[in-house]
Amino acid sequence: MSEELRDIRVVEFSDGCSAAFCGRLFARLGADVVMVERPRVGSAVRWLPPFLDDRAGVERGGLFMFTASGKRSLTLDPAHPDGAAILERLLERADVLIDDRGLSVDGAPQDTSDDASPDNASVNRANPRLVRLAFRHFTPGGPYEKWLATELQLAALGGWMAQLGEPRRTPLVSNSRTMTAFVPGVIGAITALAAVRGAQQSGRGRRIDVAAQEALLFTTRFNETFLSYTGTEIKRAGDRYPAWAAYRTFKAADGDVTAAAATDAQIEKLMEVAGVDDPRFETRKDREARVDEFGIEISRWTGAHSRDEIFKRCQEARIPMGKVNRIDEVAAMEQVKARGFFEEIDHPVAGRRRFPGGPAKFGGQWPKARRAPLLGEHTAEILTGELKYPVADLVILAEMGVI
Amino acid sequence: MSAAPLPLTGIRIVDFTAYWAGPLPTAIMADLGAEVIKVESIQRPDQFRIVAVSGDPAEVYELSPPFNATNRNKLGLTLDLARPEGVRLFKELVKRSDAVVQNYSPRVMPQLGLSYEILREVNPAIVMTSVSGFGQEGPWRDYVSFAAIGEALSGISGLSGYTGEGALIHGVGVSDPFAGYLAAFCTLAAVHQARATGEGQHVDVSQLEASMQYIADALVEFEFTGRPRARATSDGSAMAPHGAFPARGDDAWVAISVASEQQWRALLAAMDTPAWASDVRFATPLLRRRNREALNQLVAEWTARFDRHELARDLQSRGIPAAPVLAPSDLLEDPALKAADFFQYVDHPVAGRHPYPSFPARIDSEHPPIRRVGPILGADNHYVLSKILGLSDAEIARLEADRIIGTRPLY
Repeated sequence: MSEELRDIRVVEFSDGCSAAFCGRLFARLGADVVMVERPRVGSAVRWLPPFLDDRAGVERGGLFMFTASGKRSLTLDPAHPDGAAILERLLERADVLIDDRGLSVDGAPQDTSDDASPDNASVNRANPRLVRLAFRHFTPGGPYEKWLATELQLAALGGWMAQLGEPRRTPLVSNSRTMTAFVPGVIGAITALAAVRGAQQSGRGRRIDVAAQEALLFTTRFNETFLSYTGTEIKRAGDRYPAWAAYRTFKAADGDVTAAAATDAQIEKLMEVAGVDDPRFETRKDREARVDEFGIEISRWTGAHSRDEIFKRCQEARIPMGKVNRIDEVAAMEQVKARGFFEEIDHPVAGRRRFPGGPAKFGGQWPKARRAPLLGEHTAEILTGELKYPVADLVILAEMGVI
Repeated sequence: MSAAPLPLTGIRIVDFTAYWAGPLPTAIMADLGAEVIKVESIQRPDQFRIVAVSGDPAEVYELSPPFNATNRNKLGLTLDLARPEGVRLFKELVKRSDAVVQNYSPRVMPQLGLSYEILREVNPAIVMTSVSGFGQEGPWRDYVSFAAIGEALSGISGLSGYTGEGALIHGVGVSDPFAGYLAAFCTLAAVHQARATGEGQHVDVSQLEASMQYIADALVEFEFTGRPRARATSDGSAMAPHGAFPARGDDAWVAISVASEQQWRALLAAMDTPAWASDVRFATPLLRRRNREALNQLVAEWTARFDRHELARDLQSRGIPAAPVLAPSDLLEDPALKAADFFQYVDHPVAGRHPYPSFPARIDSEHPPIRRVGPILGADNHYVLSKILGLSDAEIARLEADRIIGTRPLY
């Protein structure tokens, strides 16, 4: 059950959230994902907030515990000749290499053209089926190739910021680091998994490059295509989606609700529930010509009711309506509880904690919940058990700082 | 195009989807080489053909930009699934396919006689992926959802807006693609297993649950600290200054982030070290972070004098992360995307020639080609029915006379 990828071996370098989420998706479905981490400090994701009790530490990062669920940890310095030899042997038996070494921790692109990297030529000979997936900010060769970028610059260049905010005010990103960073991660995971399938057929692995700017832009509902067809440029419109009359937020008595009524039938049902019986809003054309007045009428009803009442009442009438939840309300939703989406995981340092699950249910079951590894937890089992290094070598490699 | 075949060559997918969250994962699989057959009917074409474009449905159904973009590289088949003959042909397709992807409400497939249990009898190796607002079971399973609903309930809208103000809507419509991407990955994983074992399964992707996964940082933070994160004009990172700053011109902005002391000194040099630079509130990175709002205000007065593209280039040359905020018209002309051939110009028999974004991964340095965009309603009826299902021309003509298939919608 939920071990769909049990026969796939992944080696992962992840200092950023994109590569880390990509590896998580493989690990959740049963792939053997070995993270190659720096000796002593580990992946940079371990040092991203939130932290257990607000204190940073190598085993205290909550985001790491989420993204590394079900992975194994091998500490290794691939720049050391013996580390490079170990990495080579790992890659000889791997299906996928997930790699964000082309990006430094502070967002600067590194000069690591793929062909120059030391672990390349001999691994290609020994394992031509290896799929190599690299994360970058921009497609190499373009004018931004050397640009520095945090999530903010990527959202600016990827078309996201122009789509969130009030029309005349500062464009925004949502207050979540992972929301944009996970997008290139999942794009990479899809493509790498497809390429594993291709390699089974052709015997040849492919090189896959995912640029964050492109991955974000692909996610923006094809606004450039829309512009080319219609001459109309879609930009941020505050609390509404510009094209539609009842695709917007309304004020409820205790916060906001969001209506996403797309068809005339849905909008007319919303008018019925809200008690809006007004000849000014009879047809779609009428409503679109008086969007603001229409909103005021609907708001009269929403403003007098709680978010929960509006949500239930509209959904029972098959009107697409959502309650705007605060972060502290999310896990308590009855549907989320009934489905068992959050999972409890025991961790040697963090204790028993609740994490979001996913990615989906398979045959009615969630994938098995597994904890994140401690730094270097699997170094010995991988080196001695799988790569057949003598135990005595482990001590020497540790003293040399290789593992 | 590279000589090697696309990685999903030889995989066949039946696509019974509408709008965006369902059609997107099948578009991705089509881009990566799968043969994707999009099933609509002349009785009920995909609503995405008409809701996203204004005008009389009967006139505009081949002219929807998001429909045509989201259904690239697919074959177009019409089948009236309200009648037994349509259902029978659908099952014949399922026999010859790896997966069915559908995103109707959980009641629909069983009502049509096409539940997973029935499809499994037809083909034990079939994978069925259902993408829905809330999942296949639970008290809300029959509730309706579009992107903004998933955003509202998942907590995304709780993180989207200005500090202390109300929820804003993402023009990006994120929760549809968030669910769609996970659906593509999970479908491929289940197909991978089914090809090895001969056993398919039912994959259940919920837009609400998908959306929560992408804001894992905020949800885990609440779990670890008890503090619910809220909306913020400038996000919670350690950087200062940090945010979108006004530039010269109408609705022109530049996103700037200063992460280190070195970058701060470089910024001061770019600004010719203004008098306020020695303000004690800005003496160290921690103080600057603490006083970020005041600092951002002062930097904004400076940035407003410059062109956003020139300013970003200048700051980048000094080692500071900076970028112009790009809107759709800018993106069509963006030199980086042009250098990458990111937009592919494709002809459509009704809509003409337009740019469409590539699938955002390069395989051996090439984006997968967009061979065609959104199929004309029923465009491939003959190909699918004769070449894949082996029907005779006479049988196909009879289906057309009976309106089981067709090429004109009955609006």
